[in-house]
Amino acid sequence: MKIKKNSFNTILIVDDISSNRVLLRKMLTHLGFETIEATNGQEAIELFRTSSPDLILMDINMPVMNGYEASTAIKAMAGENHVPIIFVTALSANLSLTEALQSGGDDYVNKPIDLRILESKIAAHLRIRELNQKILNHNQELLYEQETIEHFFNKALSQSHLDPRYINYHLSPMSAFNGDILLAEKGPNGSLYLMLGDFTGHGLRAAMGTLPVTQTFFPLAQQGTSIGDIAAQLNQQLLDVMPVDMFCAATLVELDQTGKRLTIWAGGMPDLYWVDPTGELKGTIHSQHMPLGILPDQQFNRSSETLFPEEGDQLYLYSDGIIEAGVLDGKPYGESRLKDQLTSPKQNRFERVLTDISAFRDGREQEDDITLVELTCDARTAPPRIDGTTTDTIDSENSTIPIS
Amino acid sequence: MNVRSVFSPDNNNLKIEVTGKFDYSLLSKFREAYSDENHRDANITLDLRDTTSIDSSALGMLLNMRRYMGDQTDNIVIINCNTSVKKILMISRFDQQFSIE
Repeated sequence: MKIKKNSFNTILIVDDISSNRVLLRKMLTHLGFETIEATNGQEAIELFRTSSPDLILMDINMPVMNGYEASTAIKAMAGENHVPIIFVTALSANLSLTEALQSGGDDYVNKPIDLRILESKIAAHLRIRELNQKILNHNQELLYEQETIEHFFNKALSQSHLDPRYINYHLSPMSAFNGDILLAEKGPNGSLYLMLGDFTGHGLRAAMGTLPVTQTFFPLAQQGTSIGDIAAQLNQQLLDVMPVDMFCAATLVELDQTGKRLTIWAGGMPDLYWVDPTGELKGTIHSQHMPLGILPDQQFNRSSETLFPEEGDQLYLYSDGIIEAGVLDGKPYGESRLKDQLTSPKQNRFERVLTDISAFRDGREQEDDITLVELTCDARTAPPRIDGTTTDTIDSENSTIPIS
Repeated sequence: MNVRSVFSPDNNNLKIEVTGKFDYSLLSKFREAYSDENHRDANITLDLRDTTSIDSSALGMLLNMRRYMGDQTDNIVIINCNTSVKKILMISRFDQQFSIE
């Protein structure tokens, strides 16, 4: 097995006996490596810090600091960066070999050194190091890409007017990217538009749909488009850009300026609950439609449902991640437990549900993105001006959705 | 988790069975089960008797199959769904695009 002559590979020789170092240096130079040398463990640590060698040949018994201690320290310093340590030993007792490997060593060669064995072992360990370096580089690149993509998502979602006076929400993506999407926007006549969507799957793949959806939803809401027409346009857009096996289950809601009329289009989402301030369930709204991004336009059904809530009534929207949360003995959190919590006569239902879910999950891993939204049906306090803008003073620009 | 597919003796009907969790981990196995250029005209019976649960990725896989089979509503029949599987199919109104028995 030939080692590629590669002057970038530097090997650190650690031995207190000069003649041993000279022998190794000659062998390694012959094999085409650069070498640096330390005479004890302490020096080895220093040289590791300053010269970043690719591999270390380590003697065991040395003054000041022995090879075991030096290996442990160097491995700790190296962290994810894999620097192979090969012990060069005249010891043949199993015990010391075990100790050598446990202290962080990766392999050993026996004295007297056989050049071909040394060459093969170095080659094998450098291959592992090369793989490790590749992974580290890929990770760096992935992190960088992820940051950039996050920027796009954050910008796309930053328009959302999730006004805390009317909207209480909890988003809990299971990974860096959220396959659930929550958007809110003010209509020209003071109405409030809300959309909760849940894309197929989770992670980046699912989150991709966020970008086209925001581009369609915000302008249409700003123009005061009807809920059914917004749904139809989103459907067509997703059909155009998404692969066949992806879709977006979604609920779109418009609450008019008086807070007394709710228009809802729901496709592929779990039931919505309409609850009065005392916790009385006033209605359960079932999804009537297929999710967005499946049906061609001519088959798409834009019919919506209208509810007439009273002041202070609340509408609860959620993604199915919540009812499927924290499966225990095959049983998830479940719709009925969620319904019980949401129709409890007690105060602060929203917070209580979140606490209850987290207690149920009991640290078990999340299997899907989780979103819960509480929309309170109050009249908008700020009547619209003639030009369509409102006199709102509360800064809702900051209530953007965190991506991670 | 597994996918099994059997053609009827006359090759006109393909029966596909999914056992366990029907989710993204079955992506390629499920696709292989119906991808057969020689039998594009076959009817498919998807038997979910032994399917314990189904997720949205699986719904996507059903849409893929439907596209492959020519986007018709009458050549794919889904049978023997348990309650929770049926509920998920119904929430997404897949009954509009597939025959669910």
